[in-house]
Amino acid sequence: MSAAPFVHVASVTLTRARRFLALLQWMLPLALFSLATGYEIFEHQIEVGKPLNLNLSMEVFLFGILGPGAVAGVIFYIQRLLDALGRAQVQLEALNRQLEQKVLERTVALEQRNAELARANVELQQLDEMKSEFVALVSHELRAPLTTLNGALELALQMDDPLPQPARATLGIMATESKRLTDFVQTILDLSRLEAGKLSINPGPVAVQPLLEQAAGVILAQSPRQVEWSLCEDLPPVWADEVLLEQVLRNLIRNADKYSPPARPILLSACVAAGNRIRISVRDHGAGISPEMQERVFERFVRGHSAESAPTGWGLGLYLGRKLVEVQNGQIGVASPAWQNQQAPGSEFYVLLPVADMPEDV
Amino acid sequence: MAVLLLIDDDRGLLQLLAEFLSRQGYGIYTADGGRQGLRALYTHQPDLIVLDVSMPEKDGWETLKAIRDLSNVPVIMLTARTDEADVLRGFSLGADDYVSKPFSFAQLLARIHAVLARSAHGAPEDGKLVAGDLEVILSQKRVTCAGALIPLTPTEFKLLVALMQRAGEVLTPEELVREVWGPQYANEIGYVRRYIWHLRQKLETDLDHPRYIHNDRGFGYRFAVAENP
Repeated sequence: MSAAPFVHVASVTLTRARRFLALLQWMLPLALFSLATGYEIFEHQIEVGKPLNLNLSMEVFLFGILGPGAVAGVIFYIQRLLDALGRAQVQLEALNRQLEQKVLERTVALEQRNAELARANVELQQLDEMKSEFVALVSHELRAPLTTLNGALELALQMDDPLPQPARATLGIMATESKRLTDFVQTILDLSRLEAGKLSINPGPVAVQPLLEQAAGVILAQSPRQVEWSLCEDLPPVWADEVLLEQVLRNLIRNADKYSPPARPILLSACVAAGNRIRISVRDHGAGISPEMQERVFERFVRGHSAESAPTGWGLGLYLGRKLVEVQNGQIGVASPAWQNQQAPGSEFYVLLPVADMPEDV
Repeated sequence: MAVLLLIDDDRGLLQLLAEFLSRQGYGIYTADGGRQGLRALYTHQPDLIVLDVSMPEKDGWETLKAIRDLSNVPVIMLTARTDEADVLRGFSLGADDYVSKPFSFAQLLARIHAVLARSAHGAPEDGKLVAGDLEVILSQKRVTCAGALIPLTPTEFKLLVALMQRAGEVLTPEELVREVWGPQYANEIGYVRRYIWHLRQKLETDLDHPRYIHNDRGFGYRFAVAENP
């Protein structure tokens, strides 16, 4: 709120007071002089032509001259004070005007910046929508030809006519790469749906052992890999989305299979952990993950192993895994080394999910 | 062997699918658009239609509506979208199943077998379990209660179906575990109590007086529709 009206009223009041005092400065001493002198003459009953006595002269001097003189002095002092107040008032008004001007300038600048921010926000939203549309378009455009490509390869590899071995091997490689590209498109689509908030979650109780065994069975069906199990007894179900949790577990088991020597087993375990949660973990005998990389390995496009000899990958699997676990109110993490073995320290990826609670007396 | 009609504007895919499915012994007709597909339906009377959603001019949804005006032939939709809304839209228009692109031909073949087997065993009503306000559509893995969709996990769905298919009988926890999780988990009877409790949370309106899933203490669980309290 502006202080200008208040300052204006104060200024007018001050001017009036100064005018009144200017008048009073002469009128009041004069009136006091007349009153005091008249009173003294009346008191002493001076007759005309009779000389003034000393006593009367002293009283007239004291009450008729010094008294009004003192009043005039006080009024003069008050006037000086009012003058100083007036000058301060003028300065205050000037400062006030400057302040108002500054506030106005700042307000205009702020409004401009707000408008710029709003424009930038709209542009960002448009860009985000364009990105989503682009991802949807690209994935859609990729899905149709991938279906044809995969189908053609499937058909060619099933042909009864014996294909020359090099041609069959080439088709096999193409089929593998096409499958990889298909998985990538699927991951991108899942992420895009997840980030757009379009992925619907269907939570319920999930028995861990059957799900873990099913995920391992699917991923390691074609692999000679041994699996060791460490499951606590009477493990209660977790509260999760069964389909999404299996997707996460499959991904962790696939990674363990990819990044560890084929002769070494994978350890799958599940047990009750602190905070009424279940800890499900996949432990491998691979090369391990450095502490720096452990902090970044769940980020987008970050790969734990970047050496040329490392298995192929896009650095999206663990990022998707983290997102999928987080939407289920869970937590995902990694610990490495997982074993006391400097040659093959291994890694342990774990998922923590809440227990599907129910009253004990049911 | 059954006769299939494939409708897709992608001629390359159409040709490959036709070759793959004809090798499996199916009679194949193809159409590269919705209008041509409807003409082929009228002319050849196929046993099943594989219909692509994304087509120019008359798209898959419009074509499906027109097909349902003419016939009850089973339809499998091919879609490049996996949004739940799209899938539900397809089912609400009368699709029998859907396959998302990119799919493997073997996967599509399995779906064709399953849909044809269902259709051979009778009308689509056979794939539905109804009890009170509860309706379970087996092919769509969909459960509604008084028309409202009940979101169940795949295992909860299996458990409900196991109970409903033997409505009135008392099923022991061992029987339910064998049925739902498999014989290797026969000792894990603790699963049943927990899953039933959570299933009731989703199905029942009054948990103290359950309407559908009843607990016969010492014996097991029984599915029966109780009268409204």
